[in-house]
Amino acid sequence: MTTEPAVLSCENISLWRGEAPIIENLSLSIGAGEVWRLEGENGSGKTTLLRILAGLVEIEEGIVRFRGKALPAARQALAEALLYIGHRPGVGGALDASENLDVAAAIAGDNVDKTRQAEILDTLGLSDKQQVPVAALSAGQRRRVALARLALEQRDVWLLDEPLTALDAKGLEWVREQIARQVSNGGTVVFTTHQPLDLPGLTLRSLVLTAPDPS
Amino acid sequence: MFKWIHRFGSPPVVYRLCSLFSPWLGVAAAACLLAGLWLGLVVAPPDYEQGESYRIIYVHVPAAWMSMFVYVSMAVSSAVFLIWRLKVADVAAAAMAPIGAAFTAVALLTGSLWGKPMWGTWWVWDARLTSELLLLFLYLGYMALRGALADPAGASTSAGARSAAILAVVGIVNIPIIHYSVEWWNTLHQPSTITRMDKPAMHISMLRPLLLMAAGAQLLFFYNLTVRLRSGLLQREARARWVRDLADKHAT
Amino acid sequence: MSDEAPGLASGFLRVLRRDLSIGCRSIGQWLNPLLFFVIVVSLFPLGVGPSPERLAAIAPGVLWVSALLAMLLSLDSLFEQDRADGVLDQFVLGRLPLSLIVLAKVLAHWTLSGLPLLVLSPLLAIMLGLPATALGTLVLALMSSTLILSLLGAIGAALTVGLNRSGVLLSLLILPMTVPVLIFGTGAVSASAEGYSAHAALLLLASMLMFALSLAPLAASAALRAGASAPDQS
Repeated sequence: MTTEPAVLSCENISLWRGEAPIIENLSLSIGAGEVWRLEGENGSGKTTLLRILAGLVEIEEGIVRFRGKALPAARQALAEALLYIGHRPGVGGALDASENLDVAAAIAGDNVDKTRQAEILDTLGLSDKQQVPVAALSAGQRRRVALARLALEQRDVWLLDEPLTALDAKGLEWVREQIARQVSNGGTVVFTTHQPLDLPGLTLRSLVLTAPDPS
Repeated sequence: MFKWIHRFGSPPVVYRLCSLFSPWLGVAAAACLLAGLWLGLVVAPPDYEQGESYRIIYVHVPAAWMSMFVYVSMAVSSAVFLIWRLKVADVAAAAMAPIGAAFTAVALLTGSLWGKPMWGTWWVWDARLTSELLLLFLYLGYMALRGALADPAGASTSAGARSAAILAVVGIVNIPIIHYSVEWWNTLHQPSTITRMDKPAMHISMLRPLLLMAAGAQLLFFYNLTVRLRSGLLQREARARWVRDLADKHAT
Repeated sequence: MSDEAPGLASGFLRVLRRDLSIGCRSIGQWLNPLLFFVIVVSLFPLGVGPSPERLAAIAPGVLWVSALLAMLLSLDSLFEQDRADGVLDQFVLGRLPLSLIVLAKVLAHWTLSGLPLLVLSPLLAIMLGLPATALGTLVLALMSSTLILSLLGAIGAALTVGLNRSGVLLSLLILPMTVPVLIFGTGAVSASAEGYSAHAALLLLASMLMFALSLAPLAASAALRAGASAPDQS
């Protein structure tokens, strides 16, 4: 019997910053169709773990695998499947919402679909803000511009760092829908948040990170 | 190949090898340098044209050779680190930079000292000296980048190590271009016949001490490298079991 | 995933257009280096005296060093805003090759801070008393030189992105590597001003440009990947 390898897995990974451990001996296996929430106080390494899973941060010990293949060799394959929205959401302040999404699509290697883009921005309540430089928008609106990519780019693996920050109830509901859609398509979601988020009908797995004892 | 590199590149193995060779290298370096200095400063005859002042080549020329050699070694080490992610190679590159910078500084200083009796001035924009000066800048830039990317405790981070290695490789690609540009610039602006420091035909009594000094400088480099590599490895691997075992052994 | 992915060229152009439009929206980005260039060049006659022969002799050097410094001035911000916005992570993770993105950003940077210098340089050269016959060579040589500078500078900017006071460190890393450009650029102009052929120096500059064009984006993208691996400071 052969089992499908986990979408993303960590085997005994460790990372230090100087003498201080950030992540110590962590193992984790994330499968298709799963929703994971990384929890822990500030400084417990949530962001770092997400960046490790995205292949941005190289670990010092252990192995990170994407579909059974170790990073960084699997980088290209991961790039094909990954949508990462960081703590800094990746929208440039000098450009307006649709310009930002055009560039994001170009970087991601996707085609720009203007009608779809307008539709999504409309649902997110940004239709009248399309010509406004993002720097002039509120934090919640900026976050929504970044999150529009959830609906625009078709990717198997979502890694989202604090996607709910500054969102109102409507925005929250929208993200919930997107996560449900992603899971029903067999996709994977890993996110961090400080806010409570219930996902009716979905199993939410959590991983509680604690800052390792620097001894 | 890959396995072999990793076996012999493992920090405890390298640490043990360094500890083993370090004293011998130190003794050999001292012997070569002392013999070379004796032969060069006392036994070798004065130069027909330059009198006694030519003797500074016994320090200058080996230092200038080493300044280049160390940079090449550093770049090769950095490339090994980038390709095989061998931590030891990075520790080695980090250990080499100050040694290379010191050799470069010595070459510059002695070159300028030699210039006073020869050219009548402390500094001449001669191709060789200018190249050495630029090389010193490259070393200083490398060390500054390492310093800037180190973590608050002063130890290097893996991201910093990669950046520094990239800089060393970019530097070695540029060095030949810089060197030949400077040569070209020099012939363009100073077509006069400046006495070069290395003479094509050297009497054996003058050549012997030079070769001894060169060997001594090489050994001195390796001696320094083993010493710095040992401390670098201990610092970088402070968390590892072998370092803790070592510390326990010393404590008892 | 179902539809055909767009070509590399369209991605490249989109990044180029993005940087150009961001740059055009802030006047300082292209005007400040230009003003700096003009002011530094104007300081030299005040420093060395107004004698036309002396000025003409140092004119190529003055123009090159000033252009070099003017371009360095704007280089440390090449990736800085993108890092602060989190766009740099997207660059590193996207399917569009990172070296291609770097190349687009370099070209945009050059268009905004190198090209204006190039346009203004004949005027300053005349003010310094450079013979009019050397102006063609000046523009050609300065064009390759500033392009090489942008490319080299991208490596330095990528290595120092996210550091405090990165500008000084960037200069320390990059300036020694600009020596060949300085030598052959000024060499070409001096030769041409003295009535010799500048062909050799110009061809050498062009080959250095090709060399830098093919390798610098790779080095800079490797440096950006390394930088992304640094623990997040925020």
